[in-house]
Amino acid sequence: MINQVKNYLDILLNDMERSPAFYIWISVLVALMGLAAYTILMSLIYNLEIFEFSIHVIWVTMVSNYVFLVVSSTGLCIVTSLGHVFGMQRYELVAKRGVFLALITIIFGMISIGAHLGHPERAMVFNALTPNFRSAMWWMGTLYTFYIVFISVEYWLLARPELIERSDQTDGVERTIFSYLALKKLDDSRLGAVLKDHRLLQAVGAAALVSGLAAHNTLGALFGHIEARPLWYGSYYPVYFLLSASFCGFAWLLAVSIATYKLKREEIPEEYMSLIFEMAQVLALLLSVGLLFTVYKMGFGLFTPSKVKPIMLFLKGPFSFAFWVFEIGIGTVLPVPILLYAAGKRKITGVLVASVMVLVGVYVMRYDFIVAAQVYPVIQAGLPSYLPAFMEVLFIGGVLGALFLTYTLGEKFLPLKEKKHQHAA
Amino acid sequence: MVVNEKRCIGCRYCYQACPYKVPQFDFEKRVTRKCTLCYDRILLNYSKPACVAACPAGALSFGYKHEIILAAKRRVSKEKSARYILGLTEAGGTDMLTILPARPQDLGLVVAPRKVVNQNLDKLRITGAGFMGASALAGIMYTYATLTRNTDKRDHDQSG
Repeated sequence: MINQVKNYLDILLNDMERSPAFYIWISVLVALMGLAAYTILMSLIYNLEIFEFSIHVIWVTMVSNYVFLVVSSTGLCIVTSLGHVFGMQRYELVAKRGVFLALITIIFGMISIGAHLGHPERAMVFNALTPNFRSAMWWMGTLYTFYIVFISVEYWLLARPELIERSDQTDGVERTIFSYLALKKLDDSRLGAVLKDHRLLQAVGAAALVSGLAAHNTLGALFGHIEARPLWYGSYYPVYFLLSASFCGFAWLLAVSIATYKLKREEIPEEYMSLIFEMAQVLALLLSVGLLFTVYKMGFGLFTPSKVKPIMLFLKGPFSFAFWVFEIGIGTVLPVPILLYAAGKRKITGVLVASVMVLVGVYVMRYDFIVAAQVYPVIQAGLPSYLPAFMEVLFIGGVLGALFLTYTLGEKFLPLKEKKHQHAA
Repeated sequence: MVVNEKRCIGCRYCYQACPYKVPQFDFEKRVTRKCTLCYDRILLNYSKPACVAACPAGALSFGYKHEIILAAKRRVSKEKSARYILGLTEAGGTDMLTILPARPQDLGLVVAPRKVVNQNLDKLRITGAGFMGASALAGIMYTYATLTRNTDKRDHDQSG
């Protein structure tokens, strides 16, 4: 066992020696995690107030980061389920990478919100012991728990054939580890036949999709139910969150997979190439629909007396720069022509740039959405600054650093590559 | 209303739900706190809350809700100019009444919504809209899959 760990460390260290960029990448991520650990330690020694920029704006970056990550997770689940749930064979290529990303984004999203809670250890206990069925928060917690279970099983089922393959190719401790990971013993039993059946994967994928969509809907409803915050109140956000989840999912998958191939200087498989350009076109379409939704929100808000003031915060107030430049410009309008041009000319870099732009825009949009709704009715005179507290930025940097480190390690040691999925006919 | 500090998970959702910013987060103990109208004092000694007992001018008064409503109306009727009683109808009637010289929106205060619809129905409406959206999304995904199935077959034939 220790030998095995040493072996893996050797692989990592070898890679680091061979490429300084990889060395820097890993060190930066670890450093970010160290800084985040420092902020957590400080919050335990002093108090949670070090994370707040105003005691009246109590949901800030940790919540917006959580929303961003879980929206991405649902989106990735939507994209990947096009493959093995809805039976589009070309999307089965991205299943493993997509489901793995969905799994790690939801887990680090949960870590982000866990650090924001005063008592995260009680959340699980009292969610189970004393449920309040009328609280959207309860439904969100419960449904996301189911979602995490289903999505983990889904990734395991997807990765299992390749894990078995690896255990056959290797020997010694590695063979044991892989065969335990894949539960290879079951292979000859009746259960093994069930595990290999494509219909089981389809059923688990469908369960993950349904629980994911339901959880996501209750996340939107969590904001939609709050009548005291006019910007959030109403049935707009549950619906819009689903749409933004789908374009976030496409953007994540495109950005991460293209960046991985580019950084590793590997050739992208031909069949995946054509899928990338198809996904780019779908992303452009979804972004245009998203723009329509935003126009509807702004227009409808201007004619609703209670929503005028928070909407004006976006159009003309302190959030106008973030709204016009990031949400509308970088996040929605500019990527559409870039994506269409790149898909027409088959330029892979264009797709990468546009999908990263979408992610940046969506990240800023989530922050505004969380903060602006609290600023209007609570602090009418306005705040001197709307940037998050420095400690919170450090913490979020650590969460994202851990997310990318997990992905890098997964890319190294777990089956993620775009390969044709073999399944029993 | 009293916060059970042993059960509070510190999510601060109650702060967002309150239009009056009443619950406050205790950053030391990591739980939410709010005024309990000194329920422990009242249970023990039948006395008034500390703030009412301390008030030198009788500006604060405490009692059964119907009596307080009557008292507030009596005070307003003695005034020459128009007054507004905050808390009679807002959010279905609150436990705290405040006599204001003008309407809350003219004073720059938060205007709490008056409940006209059943709140459970309202929540169902909002959640239901999301579920309709989710079903529509699943329908669109299904249509996308069915409409482009031919491309799949072509790919499959070429590769296989």
